[in-house]
Amino acid sequence: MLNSKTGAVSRRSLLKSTAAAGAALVAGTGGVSLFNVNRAYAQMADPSDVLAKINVGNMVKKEYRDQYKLGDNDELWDPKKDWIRTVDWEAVRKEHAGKTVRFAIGAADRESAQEQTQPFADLSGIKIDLVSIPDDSMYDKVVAEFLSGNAGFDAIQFFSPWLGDFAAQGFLKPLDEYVAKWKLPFDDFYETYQRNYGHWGDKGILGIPFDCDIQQVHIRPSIFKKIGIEADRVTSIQSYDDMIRIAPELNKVEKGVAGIGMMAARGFWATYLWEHIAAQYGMMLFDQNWEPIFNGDAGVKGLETIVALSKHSIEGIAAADWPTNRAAFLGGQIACNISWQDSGTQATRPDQSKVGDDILTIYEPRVAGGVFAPPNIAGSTSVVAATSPEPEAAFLMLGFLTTASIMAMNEANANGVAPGYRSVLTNQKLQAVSQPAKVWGDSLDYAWCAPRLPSGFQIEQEIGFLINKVVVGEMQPKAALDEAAVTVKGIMTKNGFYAGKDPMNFAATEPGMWVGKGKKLPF
Amino acid sequence: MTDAALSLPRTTTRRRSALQRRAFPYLLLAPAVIFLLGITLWPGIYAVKRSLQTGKFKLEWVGLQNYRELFADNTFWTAVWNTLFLGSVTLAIEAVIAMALAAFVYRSNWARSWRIIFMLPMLFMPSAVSYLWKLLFNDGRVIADLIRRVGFDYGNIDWMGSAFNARFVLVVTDVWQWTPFLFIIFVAGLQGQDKEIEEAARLDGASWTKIFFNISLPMLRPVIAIALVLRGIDILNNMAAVNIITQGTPGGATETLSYFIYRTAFRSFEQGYASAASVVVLITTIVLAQFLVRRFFRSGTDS
Repeated sequence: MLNSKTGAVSRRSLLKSTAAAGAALVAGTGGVSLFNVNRAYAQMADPSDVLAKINVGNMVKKEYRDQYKLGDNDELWDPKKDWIRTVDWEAVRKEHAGKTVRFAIGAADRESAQEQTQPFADLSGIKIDLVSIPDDSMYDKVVAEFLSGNAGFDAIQFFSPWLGDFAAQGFLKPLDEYVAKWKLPFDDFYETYQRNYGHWGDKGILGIPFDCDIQQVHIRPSIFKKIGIEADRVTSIQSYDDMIRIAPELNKVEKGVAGIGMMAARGFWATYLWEHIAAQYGMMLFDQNWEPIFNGDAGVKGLETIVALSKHSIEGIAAADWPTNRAAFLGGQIACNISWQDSGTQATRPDQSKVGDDILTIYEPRVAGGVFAPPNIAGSTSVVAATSPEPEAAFLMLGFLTTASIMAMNEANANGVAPGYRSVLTNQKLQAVSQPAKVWGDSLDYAWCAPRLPSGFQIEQEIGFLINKVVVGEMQPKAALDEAAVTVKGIMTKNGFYAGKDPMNFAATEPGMWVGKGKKLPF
Repeated sequence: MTDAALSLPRTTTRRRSALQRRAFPYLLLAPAVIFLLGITLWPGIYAVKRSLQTGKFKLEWVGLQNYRELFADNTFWTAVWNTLFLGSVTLAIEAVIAMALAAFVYRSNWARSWRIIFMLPMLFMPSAVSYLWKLLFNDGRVIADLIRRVGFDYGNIDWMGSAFNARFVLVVTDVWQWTPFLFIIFVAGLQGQDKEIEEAARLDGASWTKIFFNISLPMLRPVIAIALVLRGIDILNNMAAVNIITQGTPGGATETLSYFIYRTAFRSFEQGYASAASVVVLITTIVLAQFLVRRFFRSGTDS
């Protein structure tokens, strides 16, 4: 009782009551008290037991294990590079057990993360509070959280082209110190992912690559055979001129199968398609002064190639986004498809596709006088908020979710969350379950990527509106790209980093724009 | 009656002042009004405020700059034109079909059954309906196949490749789902009219068409006005079909105002600019709705 018999509050009763309330609060809130850490630590399972369960037998779908005759303990990764098998979990537990981290993740990738919350809690004692956010409202919610100065999320996974927006504002926690302390094998990521999903210019490591995408060309060998072309990763389509030449033939071979599939819907879809092809002509988006130069010859040729291909492409190309293109390709309606690598994996899974074994992902077609620059486009990265009260625990969670073994098993599950580790994509067993992995891994050493400029996504959107007009015949390629260049300058000016104020350090950014410079072809 | 009961003090009624009596109804209504204002007026005020600002992270007051840029933006005017064009074509087709169907069934013994059958499309989520028609026209090529099977071989029709085709798809989608809305209102309106007037006209020898066009239809005018205004506002704000089926393609020929606002706010992240467009749409809608209702909301019996 707080009150004395007379109804007044005595000093002793007040002290007793507030002490009891304080003790209850400490025990009940799950705050990061020493008591809580120790209690959580004392009750935890042996890490080796937990790690033993993170295997193919438990985490890859049974039908896929049966399809590829995978054993429960087959290693689709290199255990020496699999961070969760090298990190000292006892040390993690001592420092962090009992903590909770809130992780905001796009709805599309939630499933892959959800399955890993319990194993991570068992290993580290850190609880993950997953907050799934619809992809459409992700940007605004993240911005609102950051602007409030007290982000409700410790860690966030988002579309990699947004990295510049958040990095430039100082919303992200630099992770270099944690990478070194916990020996995260960051170097195992292909350079293009390190530079474009992890580093931001010269500002250090701000993100851990999460979904490491690349666009590729996938062909249907049975249809190519009918026009006298044997399926071969190097020679089936050697150049985009070849692709334009055979497209009409491919279009006529089989009823219900169109020659070419690609994504030319308005906005960023069309931009990514154009970047993909124009990069092979040597197109770069900006010069060293961050002046737009994409409206030069290479950019125009890339766009002309799209127009030529669109004449023999599947109907609805001008509205084709990824879901539409994916459905058509996996439904067996396309002979030659320009899309992300995951279409090449998913096509082989009978529960997702009609294509089955009739698919081959080929090396990027070359062009005369061009370069070999397979495009690293889109994908997602994961970051720790600068305002997070538990940045280290959040980092450890990201390290766990993006570790080599889990990423390899994501790929084996063909769930669209792609690994970016060299040790995974070069693993023979992984290549056996992931049809595009061999070409994909080889290509990444030559990858082209757009710089992560602040407002980079808005720029991609605006360019795409004009490219779509070219695809439907409303504008000429050169005129559209010239107008796009003006629009891009306008966006840059509006965001305060044009004419004298660089958005990011060009010298530090340039090596990531095309990592294949000066390298011999991989085949 | 016992003594105890008799000894209870008499209840006295306090007289309220005239002011209290006048205020009492308002007090009863106040919570609901405050709640409604909170969820309707506040977002509007916030949109107006945001329309005067620019920036994603650091908001700056820019006065009417967003409005000036908006009125000079060809994409905005294209969206206005697309909205008016698609809206008026869709509304006209829906009104004609709905009225024709209503005229045939409103005195039918099966009117109630027809209403239930016709209501079905309205019960689906607009996004589901959009996916359905996208599948039929574009992804599944079902419509092109049907056209071929009935003898018109146009090959594989690219429904998204031309402005006419893409607009046609949007019109069909909307007409299929929302004609029943007008149909139900029109049937209810016609059934509510006095049967005796029709009977009298029939006894005077008037034909069915004369009765409908000279008596029933004029009397239905206020109902038609309200139904068209409601549907018009709905079309103006509808973006599910555009977002799912065309995303404004080809080249912006099917980009409506609502989709323009959506993609400006959630794709280009220009919240201030999108808010300015929203405010313009809101004001236009209010003015148009007021005009139309005042113009047409007079009972047919008055005229």
